Amino acid sequence: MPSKCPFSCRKYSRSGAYEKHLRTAHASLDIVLPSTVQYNNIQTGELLKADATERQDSDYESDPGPAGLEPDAFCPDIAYQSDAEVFDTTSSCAGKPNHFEGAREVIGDVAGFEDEHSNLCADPWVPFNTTEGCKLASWFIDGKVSKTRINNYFSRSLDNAESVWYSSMHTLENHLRFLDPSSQYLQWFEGQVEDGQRTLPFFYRDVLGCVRYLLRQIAYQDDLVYVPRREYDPSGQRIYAEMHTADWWWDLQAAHLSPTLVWKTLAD
Amino acid sequence: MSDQTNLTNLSGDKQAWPVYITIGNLPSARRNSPGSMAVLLLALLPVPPKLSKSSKADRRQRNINADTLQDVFELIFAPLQDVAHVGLPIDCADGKVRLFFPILSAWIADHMENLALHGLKTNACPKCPVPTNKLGNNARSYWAQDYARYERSKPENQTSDSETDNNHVMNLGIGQNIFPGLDSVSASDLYKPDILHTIYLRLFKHMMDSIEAFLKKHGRLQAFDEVWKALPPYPGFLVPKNAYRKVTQWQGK
Repeated sequence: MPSKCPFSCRKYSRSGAYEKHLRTAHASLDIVLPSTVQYNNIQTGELLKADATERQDSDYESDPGPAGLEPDAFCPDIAYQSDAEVFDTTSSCAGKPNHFEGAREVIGDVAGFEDEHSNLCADPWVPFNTTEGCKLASWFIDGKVSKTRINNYFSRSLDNAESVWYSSMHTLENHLRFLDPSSQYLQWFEGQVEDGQRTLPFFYRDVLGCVRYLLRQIAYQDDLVYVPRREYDPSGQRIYAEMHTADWWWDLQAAHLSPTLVWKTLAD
Repeated sequence: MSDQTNLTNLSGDKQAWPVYITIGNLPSARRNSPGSMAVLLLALLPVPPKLSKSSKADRRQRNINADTLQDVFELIFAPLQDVAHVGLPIDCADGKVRLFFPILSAWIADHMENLALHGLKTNACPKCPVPTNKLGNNARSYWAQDYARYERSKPENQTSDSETDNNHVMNLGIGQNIFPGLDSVSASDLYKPDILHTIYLRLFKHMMDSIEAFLKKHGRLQAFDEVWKALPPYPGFLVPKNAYRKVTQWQGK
């Protein structure tokens, strides 16, 4: 039994098509769909749409977007979305604090971050020399072509070597490593377990490395939440939605010293 | 200010025990969507072999395994210990440095695995010391499990049986809780059941079994299947193609 769209006379038997129709044909109606819900910064319909299109791409930083430019790359002179994060986007009751004071405080700038991004804007194809090289690489990766097949592709001279500028998997891998500067955080370590009978290897990563890696991803920059909040609906009832809207984080934040204090102690 | 949510699961035939990690700073819709790649593999551990309860040698082996497990997790989480109170300046995605307090906050796993990690008996509750025969009672009448206290009372337990706090220790199985040593981590809050097992494989299935039996008794199974297949689509809801009874595998969505 197909569902009828309440705003037009179309009928849909698949939920995906129905959702797409609601998102595109009725974009002006501001319908909140499960796939586009953003809890902390629903500001304009435009943001929702931008987010929806962005999410279709791979968000992996080392994965160049279709145009070769990272989907989230930006020029440093553009105001950052997270800087402009407005605390009062959700309705709050007068007198009740709705975000934790002092959290999310910035204690410095990431060295080389601005350069990294102005370089990216100036030459979006780096480390590839040409557009073709970048497109070919992203085609290889999107298509999940195996390493041997890629080498095979070059050894049979199927490519136009002059426009692509690389001719082996090895070089391509080097380029990809260059694209993901945070990959150093994800190194594997090996340990041994001894259970009395056998000695078995196990593998692990540095926990803090993983945390650093995730927080550093530009793809997440609009989504990252740095501060616990208390959200209220218009009648003053508390809303619990995401982790940062519940009490656990708030209590723990309160239990810790304020970040500034700690930073000062460290500096001393 | 950073928090981590960890989840583990046991993969089928291949004997590996992957432990994943993600951060609580991302909204859950973003964190859990496969395309955003926000979940990283933290460790790959070997799976301890299944042992019988009966023999003495096996029991000793169990103890060794539990100790080994604890050592392994201590090694993996050691970096968190050092920074739990002083914090750690971390580069953020917007080009700023902020001070973070990375703290283990949740551990999603199925019940058996949680028990192994918390060192409990199979029928114990990981959150509070409710006796097994009162599991259906009001949960508010029990405090959270005090794992740190169990840890302290364990050595005494072995020397003199008489003066142990039976009420509290009765739930403990072999092995230790791997978490009480972690700073700022409350072990009884870590337990987060996975939705697939708890909601679908237990509650929903139980409900559907009784509904099916009821329908069968009244000869209405066919009609139910037809209604099931005729459900209209809705954004976020996939229309079932097969009759309910014919579905063999479910996804935890």
